[in-house]
Amino acid sequence: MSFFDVSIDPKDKAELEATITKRLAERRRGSNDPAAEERRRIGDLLDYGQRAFENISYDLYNARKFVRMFPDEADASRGPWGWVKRLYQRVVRRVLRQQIVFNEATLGVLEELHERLNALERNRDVVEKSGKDS
Amino acid sequence: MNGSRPEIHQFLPVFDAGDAIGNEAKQLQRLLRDAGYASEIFVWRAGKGQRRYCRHYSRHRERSAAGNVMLYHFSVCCPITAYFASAPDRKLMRYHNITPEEFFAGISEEVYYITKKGRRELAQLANVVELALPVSEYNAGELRAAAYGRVGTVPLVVDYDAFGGAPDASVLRRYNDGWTNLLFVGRLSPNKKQEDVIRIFYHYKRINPRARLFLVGSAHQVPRYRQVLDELVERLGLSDVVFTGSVSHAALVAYYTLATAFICMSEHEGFCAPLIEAMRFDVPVVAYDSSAVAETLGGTGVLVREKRHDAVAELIHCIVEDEALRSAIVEKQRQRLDQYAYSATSTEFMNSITTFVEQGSE
Repeated sequence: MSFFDVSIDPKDKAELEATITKRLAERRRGSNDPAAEERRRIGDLLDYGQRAFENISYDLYNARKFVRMFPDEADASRGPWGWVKRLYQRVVRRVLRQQIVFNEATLGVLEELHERLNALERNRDVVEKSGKDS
Repeated sequence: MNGSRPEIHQFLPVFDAGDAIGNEAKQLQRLLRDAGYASEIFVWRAGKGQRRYCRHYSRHRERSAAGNVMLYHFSVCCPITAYFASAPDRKLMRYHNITPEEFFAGISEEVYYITKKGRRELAQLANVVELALPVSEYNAGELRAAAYGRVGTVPLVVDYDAFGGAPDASVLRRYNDGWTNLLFVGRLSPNKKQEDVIRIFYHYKRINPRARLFLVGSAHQVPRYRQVLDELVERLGLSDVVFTGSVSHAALVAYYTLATAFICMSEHEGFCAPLIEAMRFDVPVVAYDSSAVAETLGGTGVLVREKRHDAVAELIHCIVEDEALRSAIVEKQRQRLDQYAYSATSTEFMNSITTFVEQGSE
C-alpha cells in the first residue's frame, strides 16, 4: 500500500511513487543514509516526556539545595539592614517552597503516567504472547 | 425575550484576535442579528483589544430567561461550563474538540490538567445540551460516544472569500526572493507535531537548499515545546526555519501568498481551518491522515499515511517541481473550497437554528 493518497490518474500516481522510490534509493546509496543521520542527530530529544521527568527531578534537587542555603529568619543578620535581608530571605524561601510543591506534584503526575504506560505495555505483551500461543 | 423571538447568545472560554473560534463567533453573531435575533458574545477571558466585541459571562444573568438560547463554543474547560449547566435557558453546543491530554504529558502540566478536565466537563454536559452542532463528523462521533442525544454536524462558518485582503508588505519584501517556502499554520503544540514538519524540512533542504520553512503560530500555551523545537533545529544544523510567533491578519495573508506548499503533520485536529485557508490561496496541501484531517480535505490535497520524513520530503519536491501535478492538486482543492463557501455553511447553520427555535416554541 502506498504511503500517500492523491486524487490523480492512477497511472500518474504509480509513476510518482516510482520516482520517489528511485530518488530515495539513490540518496541512500550516494552518501550516508540521511534518515539514519537524522535519527543520530536527534537522539532522545523528542522523548520529551522522559526529558521533562529528568529536568524536573534536577530542578527539585536544586530547589531543595537552595532552600538549605538560606538560614532560618531567626538566624538572619541583625544590624541596620537586617530587616531587608530577612524580608528578602522570606520571599526567596516562599518562592522556592512553591517550586518544590509544584515540581513534586508534576513528578507525581509523570510517575502515574509512567505506571500506566508500563501497565499498557505489560498488557500488550500478554496479548501478543497469548496470540503466539494460540 | 424580545417580542416573540428568543435571544441567542454565544459563550466562549477565550476570545482572541485571529482565533478560529472567535472569528466564527463574530460571523455567527452577524448572521443571528441579520435574522432578527438579539445576540451577544459572552466570554471568560478576552484578548488584548477584544473587549469591544464581547462581555464577561457573569453579565449574562440579566439576559437569562427560560425561552432564550445559549450557544456554547466548547473547546476547553472553563468556569462558563458550570454557569451554562445551571442557567434556565435552552442550550446549544458548538463542539470544536478538545486535544487529548496525553499529548501534553511531561511537557505542560497545566494544559494536561485543563484538557483532562475539559473531557470531564464535556461528559457532564451531555444531559443538559438539547442540540449539539459539532464542526466535523469526527467531533460528532466523540459527542455520540459521550452519550449526546441530538447531534448535527455543521462545518466551521467562515467567509473564506473575505479572508484575503492586502498582505503585509514588509513580510513580502523580506521573503519574496524566489525560494521555495514551506508553511504550517497553528499554535506550537505537541499534538500539532511541528517537530515532524521540521524533520521533513531537514530532508527537503538536502534536496533543495534554496528553501525555508515558516512555522506560523504562537508558542505561549506550551513554551517548553518551543524549547524542544529550537533544540531540534539546532541539532539538525538547520538554517532558514522561521518561527513567526502569532501574526497579524495581513502578515498571515503574506505567508500564505509566499507559500509553495502547506505541510500539516498534526495528530489531532477537530477540523483544521488552516487547511481550508491554504486552499483559499491555492497552496497545495500535504497532510498527515489523523483525526478530522482527511474529512476536511475531502479527498483533495495529498494525504500522507505514514510519517516517513525522507519520503514525504521527496513527495513535496515532486509537487514543487511538477507544474502539472501541482495544478491538478490545486484544481481539486478549489472544488473542495466551494463546499465550504460561506453561503453554504451559513445557510446550514441558520437552518439548524431556525428548526431548533421553532421546536422550542411549539
